[in-house]
Amino acid sequence: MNKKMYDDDKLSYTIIKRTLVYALIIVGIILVGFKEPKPLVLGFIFGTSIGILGFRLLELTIKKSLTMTPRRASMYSMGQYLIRYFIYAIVLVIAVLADYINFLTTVLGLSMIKIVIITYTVYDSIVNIFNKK
Amino acid sequence: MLQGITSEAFILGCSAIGAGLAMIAGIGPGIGQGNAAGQGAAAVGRQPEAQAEITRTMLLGQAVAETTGIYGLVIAIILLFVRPLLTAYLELGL
Repeated sequence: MNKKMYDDDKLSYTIIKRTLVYALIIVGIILVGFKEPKPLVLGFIFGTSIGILGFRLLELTIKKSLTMTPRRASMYSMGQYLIRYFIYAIVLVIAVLADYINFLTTVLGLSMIKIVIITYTVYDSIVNIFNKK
Repeated sequence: MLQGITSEAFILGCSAIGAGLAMIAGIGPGIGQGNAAGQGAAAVGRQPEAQAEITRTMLLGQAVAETTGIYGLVIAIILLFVRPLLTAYLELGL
């Protein structure tokens, strides 16, 4: 059981670590490729950090919901989703209203977790295909 | 056009209605996540030794599903705050 729990934590930490690596690469590209990179970088860091915190919140929600009865787990999970949605809304409204933060890079930052999960899954399936051969 | 309503106000009103419609996209992931959590809790009750695998699958699935709701939110916020339709109308100069 402990080994399995460790594996669970390892998965989320792996995704967060990869997100940070991807974020550093993208920040580097923005710094090199754009003339005024400060709002872009600030927006990207803002979006990525909130995305990572949202992912961590999701993990805690799932772990707690699995200890409840199905009906309570369903209600609890929906409530927590609404809270996260509200947080994302505040972040995006701030990104739109503040001149020193770029909106599009904030959206990209919020989507980084999804990008990492999809690339991670594609990479793993490609590695599995080559290992079978 | 309706009497007493300027074209700008009409476009802003339609943008607000569009933003409201875009926010419907946020309901789907909420229902889906709730359903998945309920089924996951039931599955753990039936098979407690599979908890780690269920948690892992739910974590990846729900993280990806959640982004769909963010897209709707982005569209709504763009319609409300950036006002692209009003800008396009003003640029036409009608």
